[in-house]
Amino acid sequence: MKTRDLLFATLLLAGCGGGGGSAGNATIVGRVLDVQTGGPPSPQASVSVPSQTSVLTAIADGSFVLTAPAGTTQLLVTSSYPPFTFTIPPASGTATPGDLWIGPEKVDVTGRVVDSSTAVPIAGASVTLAGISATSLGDGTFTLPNVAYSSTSQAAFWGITGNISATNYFATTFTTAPNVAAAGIVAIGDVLMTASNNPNPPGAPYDIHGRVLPIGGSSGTVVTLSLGATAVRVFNVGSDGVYTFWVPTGSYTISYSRGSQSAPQQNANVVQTNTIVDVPDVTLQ
Amino acid sequence: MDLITKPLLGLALVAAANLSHAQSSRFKIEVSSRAQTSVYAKMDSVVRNYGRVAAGLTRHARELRQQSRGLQTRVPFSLPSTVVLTSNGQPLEPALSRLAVNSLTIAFDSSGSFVFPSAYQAELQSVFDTVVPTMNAVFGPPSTSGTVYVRNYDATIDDRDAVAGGYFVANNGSGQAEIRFPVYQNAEAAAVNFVHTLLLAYLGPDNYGWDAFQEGLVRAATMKIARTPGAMPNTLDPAQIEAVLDSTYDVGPTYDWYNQRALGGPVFIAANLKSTQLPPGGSLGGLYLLRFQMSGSAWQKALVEYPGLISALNQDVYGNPALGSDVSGLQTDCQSIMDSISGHSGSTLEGLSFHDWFRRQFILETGQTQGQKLLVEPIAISSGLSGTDFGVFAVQANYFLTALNGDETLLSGTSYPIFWDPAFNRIFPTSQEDRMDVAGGYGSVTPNFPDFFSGQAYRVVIDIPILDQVARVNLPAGAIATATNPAPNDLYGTVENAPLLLGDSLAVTVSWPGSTLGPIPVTNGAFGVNTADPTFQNAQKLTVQVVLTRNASPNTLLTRIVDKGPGPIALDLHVDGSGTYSFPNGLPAGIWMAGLPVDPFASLTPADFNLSANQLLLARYDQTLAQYRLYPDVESPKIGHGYFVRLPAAQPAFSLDGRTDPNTPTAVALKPGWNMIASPLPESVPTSSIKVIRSTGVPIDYATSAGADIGVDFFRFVQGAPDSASGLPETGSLVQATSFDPGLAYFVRVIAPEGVTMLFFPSNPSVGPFSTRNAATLATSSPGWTVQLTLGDGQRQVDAFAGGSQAATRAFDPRLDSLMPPGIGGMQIVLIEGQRMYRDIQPMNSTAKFSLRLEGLIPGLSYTIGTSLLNGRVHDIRITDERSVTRRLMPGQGFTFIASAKTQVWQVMFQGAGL
Repeated sequence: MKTRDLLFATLLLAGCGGGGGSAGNATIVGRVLDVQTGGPPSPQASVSVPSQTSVLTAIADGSFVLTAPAGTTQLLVTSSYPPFTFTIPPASGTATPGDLWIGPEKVDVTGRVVDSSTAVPIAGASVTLAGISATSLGDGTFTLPNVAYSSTSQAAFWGITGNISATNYFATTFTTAPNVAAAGIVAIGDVLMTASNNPNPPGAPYDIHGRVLPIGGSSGTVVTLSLGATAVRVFNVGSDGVYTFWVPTGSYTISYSRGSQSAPQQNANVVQTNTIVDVPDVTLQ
Repeated sequence: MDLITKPLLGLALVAAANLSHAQSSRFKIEVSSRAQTSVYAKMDSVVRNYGRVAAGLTRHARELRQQSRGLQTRVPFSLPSTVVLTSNGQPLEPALSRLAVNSLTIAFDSSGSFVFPSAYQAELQSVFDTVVPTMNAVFGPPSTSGTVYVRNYDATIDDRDAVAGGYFVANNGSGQAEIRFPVYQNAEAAAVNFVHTLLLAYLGPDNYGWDAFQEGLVRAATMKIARTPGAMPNTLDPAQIEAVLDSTYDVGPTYDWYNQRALGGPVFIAANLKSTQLPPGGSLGGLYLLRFQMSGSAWQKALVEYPGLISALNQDVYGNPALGSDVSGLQTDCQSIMDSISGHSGSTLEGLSFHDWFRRQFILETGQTQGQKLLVEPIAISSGLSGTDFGVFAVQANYFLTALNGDETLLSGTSYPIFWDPAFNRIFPTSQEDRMDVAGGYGSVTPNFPDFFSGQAYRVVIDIPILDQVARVNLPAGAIATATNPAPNDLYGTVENAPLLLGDSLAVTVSWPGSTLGPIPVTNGAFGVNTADPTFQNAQKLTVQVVLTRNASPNTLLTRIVDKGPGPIALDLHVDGSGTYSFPNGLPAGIWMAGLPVDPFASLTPADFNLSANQLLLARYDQTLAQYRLYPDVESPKIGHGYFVRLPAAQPAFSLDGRTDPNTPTAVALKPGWNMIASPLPESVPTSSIKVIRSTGVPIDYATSAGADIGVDFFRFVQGAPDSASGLPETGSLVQATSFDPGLAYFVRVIAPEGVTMLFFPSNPSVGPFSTRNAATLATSSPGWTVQLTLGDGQRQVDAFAGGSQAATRAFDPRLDSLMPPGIGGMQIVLIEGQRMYRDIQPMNSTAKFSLRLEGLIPGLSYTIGTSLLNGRVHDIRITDERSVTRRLMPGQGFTFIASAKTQVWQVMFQGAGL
């Protein structure tokens, strides 16, 4: 019953803070977690608004309840690790900044936010991971600075769920697995987002993908996929020039024809059905 | 003898050993140097690291388990293992030899670094001398003969709570078989783990290909041996032995609760978690300990009915080592052994053929499956109860991702647990259980399910959704121990799917050798009883029947054979809970979208589709990646999920065997964005039979949710024209759907950023008994709307009426409004409009606000709020409590709350009110 009682006490405190604080204060309720253990910091960490009174995290679950001036935007977490500073939205009422991760090291986590259907970079996406936030730039790239990290154990680090939100896109999540830090940077590559204002569901799956150029001028191209001398699939290209096939493993050849036009034959070697083969663009001649 | 100075046998041993991991507790160490001390150091280091890892991974679960049962004994965690030294990839020749009838002797060093304290050595010798006959009977004679040296490797142990438990090495490089064993402070722990290690020595160089067998068989045998009267030295305390087994070997009474798909896999601890430094804290929870315990407890069931099963199976594997890695052959062999023991063909285990039994035990699933996995591990809190504690459970979630190579990533996330009462109304025990934060793969909440039914037990169905994963358990609140009845029952459980009608009664009858108990009444889907019969505590075969009585005529709905271990037992009894689901029209050739209305017993493999692995095309859209996961990277198909599949030929008779609850509302979790889902029920479900739950909200109708939480339209797949080359449909169209038909898959778009859970109601739900309320008929003389608000405490209920009328004014109107008589201190619900009102009819407005006062409450007790639309139309009802928590209801819905004060004043807003 200890855990329950402790949690209850924590929430009771949270309730008191929200209701009994002065008008100029906010109650910040959150949790500090250790990236080396995946659990609460031990010994306990201290959470404070810089230069103000601090509170200790709960032994059981790393939670904390901090009364801070309304409008507070920074939290300082000190522990046996280097101090971590987290930027949060201006606090008001009861603010819940989520999990704040600390650890023996700090890294920059980099990536790029991309539209899943158009491959266009998404600017202005809000990215958060481990209590650190950033906004994607015009080219879709983002850098989350000073993210907690442990070079001796990535088990907990890889399990942290990052969140990305952007206007007119479905919010999505990501993890850093299986990437590790190199020169203080964990590069996670592209994170895809799907437009939320498009009522059309995704297209069908495929493991061979290619384009026939020129876009717009290749509509009606017949793309034939062959295994040896046998044609196994035929695809009629639309205005986007894209063709796809979903086929078992094998070494395939692809031929293209549109009336009197054609394009050089291509090869597509599907070694594993879980890997998409991107065929180089071809141009009708 | 001091091995350090003993010359080696010309083998090249190394200091830097290379490790490989076939199984969690079986280590291969490549050696190529003459430095034997470094080899020993490496072996010890590997085993101790493994012990520390496993102890760290399971510490929190063990602590919770001990707390929940009020156990005071602190038992050191241990995990005996086997080390195989290899040279050039080949195991060193075993130091022991095979004879017609094998036997082992043990020997101790008399000097040197590996000498035990004399008293401890005498204890181990005593255990060996006493236990050998029982080991031979339960586990069979050893695979080889000779002397096994038992040596002390305790010197560098730095964590007494995480001792590695000892290990066996078939050839230590000097031509000796050796057990390296620590010095336990607890004699019983030493004895139990020594038996475990001796059994590993019995297996010798032979082994099974999966932890489910290797670990499971040894653990079941260790439990059986340690519990056999007279098998262990009489100087040991049987209660202490039981404490050791209870701590780390036996899963205890709750096998049914934990028998979940996420347990399965070829190894119990993923290689990446074993070979890297792991989080030392308890935050990762108990999945790993649970796997070890479940495997032993699964095979313990087999030993209940066939005490000679493991012995015979081992002998067959010794005679044909390849059998150990042939799961199909092992199943066939087990059936043959059962038939041989019983003396007839077609013998059964828990009433099933071995094959059918085996595939129902998810811990024995040896296949490697990918994707996100979620396991819910409830622990009943049965000690230290006080106050209003009625149904207290620690509900733990283990959430992880398995990669193609078996590596596991411990995921983080947020779940909004959903607790359902017997009629599938959502329960909100307290706000702290509304949300479960999962970090490092582990999260937990500890709800206390209140006394809703005047002391009667009731079934709580718990759905834990995280993104598009959901795990369900059925728990019996008030059936195990409560604050007012603190002595735990020893027989308790839940019943699902019973086709109840009003007036029916349900009961359970349990028989065991020499006794029958029952009928045990099932109230609200749950039951609990103290058998008060010492013979019930034995490990034995139970026959459990669920009997429905209608019009004084009893009808047996379910007969289930259960092999229980020692002590109490929890039963999760599903009427019609498994079967074969035949897909309507099977699966067509070409591309198709199929969905699963059953929880398949085994992972689907290419063979299930009559295809080879490189021919299977199976895919599921993953919105997190914004692309499809393609086989073999896709999850093993799950109930309620949909998949694209492309078959080269139609399979008109495609069917799946699995678990199903056809009469029970079943949940499907959806993540933000596009989801491929299916009806989790083997029937067509219209959207009018679906409720949508968003985070901590109350369930709302699908139609209401459409456009707000989920997309207005959802889509099914229609095959296109045949491809001119393949002759099969390779493309198709997505068209608007209106219902969820079984066996098909649908694209559903979720707008809510935290995702939603959809609850599919069957056409004939067995969720009773419903609480029936006769809503008072309110006569109104003018058009408008009226909602009855009901406050109940489980025994009584009181009402108030809110409404709107074109004839009403803001002021008190005696034609329409009624004042509440002065309170007399009892429970009351009133509307406050300057005065305490029983009926408050306001002018017609699309949004109407009222102040609601609940009086005469007893803080800490649970109450229900109900709503009922008597006339007119109301779109939704929003009730905001004094903590500013708003619950959104549809007319007819209600919720449960715990009173925080004698009088509570809430705000209620009716939206979309009209004629």
